[in-house]
Amino acid sequence: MFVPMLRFICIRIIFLMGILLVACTQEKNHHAADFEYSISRSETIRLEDVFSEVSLIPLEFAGDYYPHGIAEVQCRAGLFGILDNRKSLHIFSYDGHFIDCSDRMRGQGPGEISVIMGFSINPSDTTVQILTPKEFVKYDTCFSKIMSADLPTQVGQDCFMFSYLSDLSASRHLLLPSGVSTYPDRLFTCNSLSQEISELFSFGDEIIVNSSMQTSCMHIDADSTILFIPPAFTGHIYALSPDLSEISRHIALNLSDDFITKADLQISDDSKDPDIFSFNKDIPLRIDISAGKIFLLSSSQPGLNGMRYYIIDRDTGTSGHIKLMENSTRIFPLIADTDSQYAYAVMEKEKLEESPALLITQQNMNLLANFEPETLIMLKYRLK
Amino acid sequence: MFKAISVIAVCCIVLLGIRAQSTAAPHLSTMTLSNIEALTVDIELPEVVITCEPGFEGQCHKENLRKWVMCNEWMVHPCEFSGYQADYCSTPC
Repeated sequence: MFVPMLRFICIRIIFLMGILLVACTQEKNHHAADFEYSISRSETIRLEDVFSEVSLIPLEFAGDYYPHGIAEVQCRAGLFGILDNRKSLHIFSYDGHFIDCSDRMRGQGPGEISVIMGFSINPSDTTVQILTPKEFVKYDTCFSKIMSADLPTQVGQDCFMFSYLSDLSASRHLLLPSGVSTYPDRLFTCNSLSQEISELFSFGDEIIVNSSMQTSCMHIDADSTILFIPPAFTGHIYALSPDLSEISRHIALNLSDDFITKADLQISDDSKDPDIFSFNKDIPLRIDISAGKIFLLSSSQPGLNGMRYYIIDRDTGTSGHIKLMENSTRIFPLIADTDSQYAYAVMEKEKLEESPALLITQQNMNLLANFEPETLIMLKYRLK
Repeated sequence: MFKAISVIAVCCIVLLGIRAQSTAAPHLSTMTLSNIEALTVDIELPEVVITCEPGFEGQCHKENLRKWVMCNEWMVHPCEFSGYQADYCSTPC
């Protein structure tokens, strides 16, 4: 009677120790970041410290198509994709020539789109990919349908739909659910050919600020490291293994006291939608990555007046900050997208005329004067 | 032995009783039948139309509190398709 009891207790103890050991190992992997950067307001920088030159590309809209505000911009594979606030997707070549607009395909017939949840320009096959509530649809640049794949979806009270799309190859993608989905804080991998989708990572427990302006959630470094930037601030940028089987903390962003903390937000946990700007602290909103720099956009007010960039040099680890507006004039652009060498921003001609500092040279000011009124201009800044 | 026989006998009586109850013909009065008929009269229900507004706002759209977009110089939460008819959202931009 006594011996079996003792054996049972021993097995239980060994089993529990095993679980504890595995948990500790995972915790260790989870916390180590390959790079750590401290971000504070200790140093101020100027636009000329970040960019060496800017090219002005007027976007030549055709027909009745003109964007109503800019919600998202993607600059990939020689194409500009501009999603406006009315969910119309406009495609341009890199020299600003209009190619097509998704409004031409709006409808509920075959190959047509009634609701756009998200989009991407896939550099692997130079296609335009659109997420609808139920489908992943691949088009050529003139919106001729190439293929579609069903997405797992659930509409109604338990809403579950994808709205963030990033591409690893022609058929491998990263997907994230929309912010109105019941469980938005999850990263999925998707194979659009085999129509297989699997959950890779849940970052819900790590969120510090859950509202963001993040539009692009992936960056691939020159050494092929796949970086994942969640659409909510967690204080980390994550690295995915090439086979997508593992995810780890790659870059830790240690914020100074100028930023809102998790403790600040927990005070207002009772409120369904706490006013995050009532703390008068910087709210981290968006991260853009290039080969040598990390741009962290933050704001202490719900508008351009309170916005500033913290720019980190990835090689030296030094950082500086700059406000977007000074004395009611724009002195730094609101970056819409980045690649390894350039940062892109979109502005109207009239707004640019009021913000000569954004043009860097008088030559650009003269060039601007030649453009038609209300022209939307793509600013292509070369990174230093 | 006697105990076992008496247990089996009691079980048999109970089972027979249940069977008799379940197979008995219903004795419903004409009053009851006429009430049932009254309740089963065809009632025309109005046609239910499920409408979700396509595009970027309206019915089946919900304010996405986890996302900010710029509306001129201000940050606003955009409307996002939820597919749920009770949701309604309109955007200032």
